[in-house]
Amino acid sequence: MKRSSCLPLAAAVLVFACGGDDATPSTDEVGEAAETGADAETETGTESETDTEPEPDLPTEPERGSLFSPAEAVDLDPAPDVVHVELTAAPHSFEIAGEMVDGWAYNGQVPGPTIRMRRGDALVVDFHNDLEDPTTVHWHGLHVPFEMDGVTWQGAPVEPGGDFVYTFTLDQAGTYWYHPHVDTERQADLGLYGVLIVEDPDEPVADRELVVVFDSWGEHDADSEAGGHHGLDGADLTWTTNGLIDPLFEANAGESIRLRAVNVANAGYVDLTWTTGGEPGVRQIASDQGLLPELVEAPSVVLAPSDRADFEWLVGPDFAGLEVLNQPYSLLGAPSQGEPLRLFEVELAEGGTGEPAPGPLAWPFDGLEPTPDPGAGVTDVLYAFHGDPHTGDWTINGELFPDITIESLSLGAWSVVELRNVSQAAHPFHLHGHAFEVLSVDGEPPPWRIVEDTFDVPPYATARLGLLPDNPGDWMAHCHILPHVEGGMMTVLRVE
Amino acid sequence: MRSRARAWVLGSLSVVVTAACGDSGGEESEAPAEDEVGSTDTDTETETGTETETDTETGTDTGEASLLRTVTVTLDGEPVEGATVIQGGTGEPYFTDAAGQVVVTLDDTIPGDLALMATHPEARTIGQSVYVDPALAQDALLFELTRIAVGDNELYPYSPPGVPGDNGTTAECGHCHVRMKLDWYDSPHRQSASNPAVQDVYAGAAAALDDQASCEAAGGSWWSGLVPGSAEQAPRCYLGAGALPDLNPDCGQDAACDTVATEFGQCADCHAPAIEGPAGGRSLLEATGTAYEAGVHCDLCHKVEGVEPGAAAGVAGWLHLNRPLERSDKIGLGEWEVLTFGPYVDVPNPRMGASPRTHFLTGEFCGSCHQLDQQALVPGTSLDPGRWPEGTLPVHSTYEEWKAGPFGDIAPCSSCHMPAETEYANSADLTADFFAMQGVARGWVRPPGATRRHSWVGPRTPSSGMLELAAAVFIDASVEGGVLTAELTVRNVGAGHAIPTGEPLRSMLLFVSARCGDEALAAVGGDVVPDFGGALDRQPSPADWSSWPGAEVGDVVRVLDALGWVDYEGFGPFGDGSFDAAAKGLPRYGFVGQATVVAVNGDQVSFDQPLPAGDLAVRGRPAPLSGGDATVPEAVAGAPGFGFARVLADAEGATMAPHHRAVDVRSDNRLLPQTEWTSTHLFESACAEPVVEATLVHRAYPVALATERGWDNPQQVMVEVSL
Repeated sequence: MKRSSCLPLAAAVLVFACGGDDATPSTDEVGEAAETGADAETETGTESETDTEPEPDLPTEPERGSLFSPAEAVDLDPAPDVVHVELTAAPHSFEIAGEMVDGWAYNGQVPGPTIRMRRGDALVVDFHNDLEDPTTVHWHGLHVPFEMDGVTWQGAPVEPGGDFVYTFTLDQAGTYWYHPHVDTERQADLGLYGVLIVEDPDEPVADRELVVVFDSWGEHDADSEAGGHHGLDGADLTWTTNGLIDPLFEANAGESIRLRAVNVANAGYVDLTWTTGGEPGVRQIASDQGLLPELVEAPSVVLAPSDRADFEWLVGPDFAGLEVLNQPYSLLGAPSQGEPLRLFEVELAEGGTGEPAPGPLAWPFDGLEPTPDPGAGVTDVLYAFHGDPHTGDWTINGELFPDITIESLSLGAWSVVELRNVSQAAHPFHLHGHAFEVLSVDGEPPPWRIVEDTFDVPPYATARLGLLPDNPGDWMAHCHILPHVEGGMMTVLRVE
Repeated sequence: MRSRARAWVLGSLSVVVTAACGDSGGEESEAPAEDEVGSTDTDTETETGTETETDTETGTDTGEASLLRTVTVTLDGEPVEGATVIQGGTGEPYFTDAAGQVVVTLDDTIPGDLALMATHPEARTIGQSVYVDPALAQDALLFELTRIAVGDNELYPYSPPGVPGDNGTTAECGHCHVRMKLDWYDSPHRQSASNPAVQDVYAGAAAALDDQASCEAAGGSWWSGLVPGSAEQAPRCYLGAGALPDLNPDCGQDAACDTVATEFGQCADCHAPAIEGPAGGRSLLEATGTAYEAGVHCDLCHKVEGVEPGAAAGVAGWLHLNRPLERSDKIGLGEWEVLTFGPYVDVPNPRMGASPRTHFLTGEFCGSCHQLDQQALVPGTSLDPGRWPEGTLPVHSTYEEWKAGPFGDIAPCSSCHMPAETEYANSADLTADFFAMQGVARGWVRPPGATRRHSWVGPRTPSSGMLELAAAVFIDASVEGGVLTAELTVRNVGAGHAIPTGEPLRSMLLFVSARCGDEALAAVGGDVVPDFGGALDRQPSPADWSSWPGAEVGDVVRVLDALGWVDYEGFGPFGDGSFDAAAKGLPRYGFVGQATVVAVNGDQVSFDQPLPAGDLAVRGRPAPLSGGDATVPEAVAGAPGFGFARVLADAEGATMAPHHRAVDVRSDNRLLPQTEWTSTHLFESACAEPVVEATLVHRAYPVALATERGWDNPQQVMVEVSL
């Protein structure tokens, strides 16, 4: 990431300005603010003065930003079942940790505008490429038609100055994201990513919703060619939450909050854990592909690159604060040494209502049990992962993309895909255009029914996935550690 | 800006002699106190030459400038280009220019010592403290490297690695590198010399037959000989083939060859490479003490200064040893200057005497002992020049299989066989508090996974699961006309080399069965386990199979049809078009039927059912998965299934022969990386949806040889599938 010196912290959170009941502005609200520093300062409250100047000979604490959800895209279509948005990828300078970053952004904000729709809606995205490089938009985790998937396998990217209209209807609900699928490692790292939320009318609505996007920085230099740092496993990374380092979020007693978390890092894992003096508990309600079968109270949740998780959070009057921490986690995919890093902190708002914690929300969990693994005799496709950080080469079945063998599945025939990781790095396997169920890991069934579009396969482990190939096309299947993709770890699974 | 006032001096200039690590095992710690490690600022400046001036603008009181250091590196007094200068803990190297200089920007944010070091492949790494304090400005630093004396010191005594449960002293590598010692201890490398199978095949002995009666009952000779690992002689059982009796025709007829043999083969060059004295050409029985107990150990591998692929295996040529030639005058560091080759450029601890080498990360290092093309070794034998025009046989070929396969330039051996260690900051893991380890004496914090476990996981470390990852078996079954046809595909999905691996004697057997409910289905045709699955004996047709000397109740006689040759694509000439199917040497047999011996009367046997007609009858034991223990290898040639092996043949035509006797690779149908083989099996099916079951097992040794020598020889299940 190319950085330059930055003016004193001021409008660090232009695109995260507060607006609306859910603390989420729309892009037109922040767009003007982004162009006028004064507005931005006003909205982010950085004009607030303190009565005492810091002692000049003491280190000054960096000013903490306030955490808000990324601004949302404006729906240009009044029809209730159509969401029509405009999305432009363009160069954009923004600030991280006091340094100006010459990056790229969608609609001038990082993360890009959150696209919000409801299950059954049609989405129309007027995409314009204002970059000097070709790009695409891939809709991660969404079951879109192949030609809308934003990949260049059998297709062309959107050239500089070009336009493309992405349009599809979604019959799924959950937290997803979008990013380029051309030169992905570089383009995503430069700031091209955003969240897409599909609401389910059957799900209860929390009092507030907080969308947090975790990203790690220091993975890429904008001036370098892609793929020049495959050995980065273990590099020190700076983590941001919605572009801010360790921001502060204010909660109100008596409110329920739905936290939607997305890890968009190129390679870094987020091992989320919480420190709290008691209530509220942070309980997971959803993962990559929507609601879990049941409420899960886990001490920590690992988000591999591209993973998402939703949490329910019920704030009571005795809330003593909460820290969301990223436990040290090796890029090789295992707990590691080091001190936990706080991703953001939550405090009870001054003058909070004092209301008791709300009761649990009535999430429509289906309670389904995991599908039994039919056993190794039923294996339709097997992918084995190999590679080495020293060479930077990572393979699937010994092949480096694009020199691959295309495996096929029959449309509509439930199938088993086996993943064998014969390497010392974990590999979050992502399949486009489909969801899959985790049947077993090293022969053991999962603790609950896990339906994902990305699943992290630990080193030296075997994971078996159940898949209904119901979406015809040539679907990219790859590790979502993007340096590994650049190193060759991608293939094509044909559904026909 | 933080100030670093603590100082120390390292390397050849150092007076520090006991920069030892601490102790995690409650043993006496030899770590010096901080003030013992350090020296005065005056010493530092004087000895490290910080008075050297440069034109570079450094040492000002601005924060940026105070982080710059102009470093000059000399080698034997002359400025040296290409030397590496690196700040400990950063992992970011700088390289000197033609004037031996480089300007380094310090990172004062790293935890632990603030130190610069310089290194060069021809020298030992040395380091110096640095200060980020204008009042203590070191705007220029001089590193005076001394060239390592090149050569190999036959007088050098290897340092022992140590044993579990005793952290010993700093004389042992495992004193500080505790985890690596434990990993290594459980690895096959430790047992390379002490493995009884290795010693038995070397001496032509059977250590398991440890009394005269059992020895002689097995057909052995109870002679006096050298006890492996010691210089002592004692009565031992000599039985069967062995490198010493086979390569030395003048002994082994009425007495052991142990003390009189003059031809040793190349066994010890890899199996006991750390025998002190001259490297290479030694007798395995010379391995005593650490050379025997520790086999391939720390100080041996880290005395390798270079590799020469294609040269004689092991320490006889491929591995270039550089045991230190310089005598040491430092108290506590031994008679010779310490010298350790390793992959890192930032190890200035004087206890190590480190010099960086890149070969530790390459397959070429491993190939030194996992690749051996061998001539006919037994006197009076020769290779068929028509089959082996180069005059050698590939008897170990794991390295070449990997190199020629899809992973040759992608994933070196260590990618799979040395898993990443993510829980420790570096290889010196004496303390659980890794932050305390950061520094010169105890190493820098490395990126997670940079430190590799020295466990060499594989078939001989069953808990690693590597065998299970290596292969997959796919079943495709159909029923037509009351006959179940099952096609079994075995694929090498996980290994970067062939499976079974290119080491001698290994095999991989597939057993196939079918059932309707609980009722086992009778095989009526299809592929079978080849000869290397083992047979008690064979009788061709026509013969009176009711007369079978030696048969016992419970034996299984399998009748086969000879169907020509299996045309497969294997390694080397078995896959490059040099050999036709017949030359590839794997007979194709078809299953006809089988019967179990239910009564024996002299040589006459009765079966539970009539034997069908066929070309060949093979006597064996029930397949291990038909109600027996899957870990017990039995003679199963001819059972429904298949197999994969490199079959070495000796001059007498015996197959699965120990490789020192080999004059031919009879066949080699092992599965190369990402390749597969499909076998077909027919069963008489009484139901529409029978269940097909298959088990793939790995055998380290052929069952006949293991039985003869009394080896504990469990077979390991790799894959179990059913459909």
